[in-house]
Amino acid sequence: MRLRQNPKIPEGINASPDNPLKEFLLLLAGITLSVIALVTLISLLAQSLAPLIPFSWEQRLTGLYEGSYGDSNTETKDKSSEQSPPKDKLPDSPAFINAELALQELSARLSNNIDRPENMVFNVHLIEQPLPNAFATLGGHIFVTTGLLRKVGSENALAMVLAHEMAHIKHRHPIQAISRGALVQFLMTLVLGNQGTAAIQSVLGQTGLLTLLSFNRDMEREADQEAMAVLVNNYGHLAGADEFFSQLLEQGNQAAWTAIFQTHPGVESRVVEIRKRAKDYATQRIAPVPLDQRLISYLQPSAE
Amino acid sequence: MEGLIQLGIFVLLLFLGFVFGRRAESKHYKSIFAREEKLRNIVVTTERTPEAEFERHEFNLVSGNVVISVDYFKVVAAGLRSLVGGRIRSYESLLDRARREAILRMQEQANAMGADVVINTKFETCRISGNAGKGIGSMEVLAYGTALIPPQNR
Repeated sequence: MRLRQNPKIPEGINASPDNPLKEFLLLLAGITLSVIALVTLISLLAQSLAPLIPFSWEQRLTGLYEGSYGDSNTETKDKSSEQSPPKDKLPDSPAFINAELALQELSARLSNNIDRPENMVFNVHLIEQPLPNAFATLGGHIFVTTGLLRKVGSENALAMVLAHEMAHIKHRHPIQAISRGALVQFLMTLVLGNQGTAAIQSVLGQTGLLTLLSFNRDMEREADQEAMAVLVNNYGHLAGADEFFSQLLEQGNQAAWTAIFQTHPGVESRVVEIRKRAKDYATQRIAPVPLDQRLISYLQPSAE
Repeated sequence: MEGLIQLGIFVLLLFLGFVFGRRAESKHYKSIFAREEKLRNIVVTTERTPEAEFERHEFNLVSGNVVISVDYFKVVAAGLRSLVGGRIRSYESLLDRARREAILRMQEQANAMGADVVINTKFETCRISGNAGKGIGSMEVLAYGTALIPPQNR
């Protein structure tokens, strides 16, 4: 029989009348929660399993890049190029090499006072950069910027920074942080890799790297404790140890310091802790040890 | 900071996609309901051959096509859905609208010819440019059929 009119079909069969926002929020909440749970799990795993990786593997890995370490900070180098150093302060000049040598001798002295495995060797590198910063990476490599040298007034303050970075390496913090970062990145790629939302991917990837590649507060506290023990072993007191961190705190809101603030959380409570510990040893007023002559001559403005 | 800016842009796009997508959808549905009511007498069927009563009718090809684009909100919602599986409701309403709009356009064409029935209706869809670059996709829905025009209307 022929239809005289198209029938009226009830709505809501092919398309659901529900508000799509409800479904979206539900999905978002569920997926976010499970991603957080997975990231937490990965962090815990990295923290407990990464220290089991032999230190020699780290060394072999970084050994491949040994030659190029001096230029590794291309990103920050751009900023420093504005105020290029005078000729005799360039990374190849004798003054620079002597200053780096002085740093390495100081670290060798300190490493005798740190309880570490046989094969753990610390390699200290000086990098030409006006921003005060120091960081430890894989394979026992420690980087100190010339900007930091300018901010420390005594050997003790410098030793505190060095011992702190050594403690990070001793406790295998760099490999933990990198394992965690890499695993989280891998997870993000797995979850978000095959869909068209490039924005989510880059946002999550960036925040992930920002929060995961730096050391967390517990790691910093652990490194501080260890560093203070090293300083007490070496000098017998903690005078001047808080100098650099106190400066950091006072000038914390200045642009030049943001880099180290981002990589070293919770400075305030750490200074308090160092000062408290320092009191235990300060029976009389002890003068901090002055900086090595080679460092001073590097930092002094050139005669010409 | 860079991450925050990107997050802000993402949320803004999501919000714009939702607000404008939602408004466009409700407006479109209103228009679909009204026009379906108006063109209800142009009967659309899928039978392949005309019945005996149409023997003396003229016949002509009629077609209607729509190209629809997905909004940002729907893309993200579908992306989240693709992680866990299930009905992608945000796309269902979009395709429902496109299919009905294509029929309406076909009916309008048939109406202009003076036809009173369209037989052998078929649908085709295709993606535009293969949605290259994983960007926001758009697709075409084409409805076509044979309009039967009574001799006195010619």
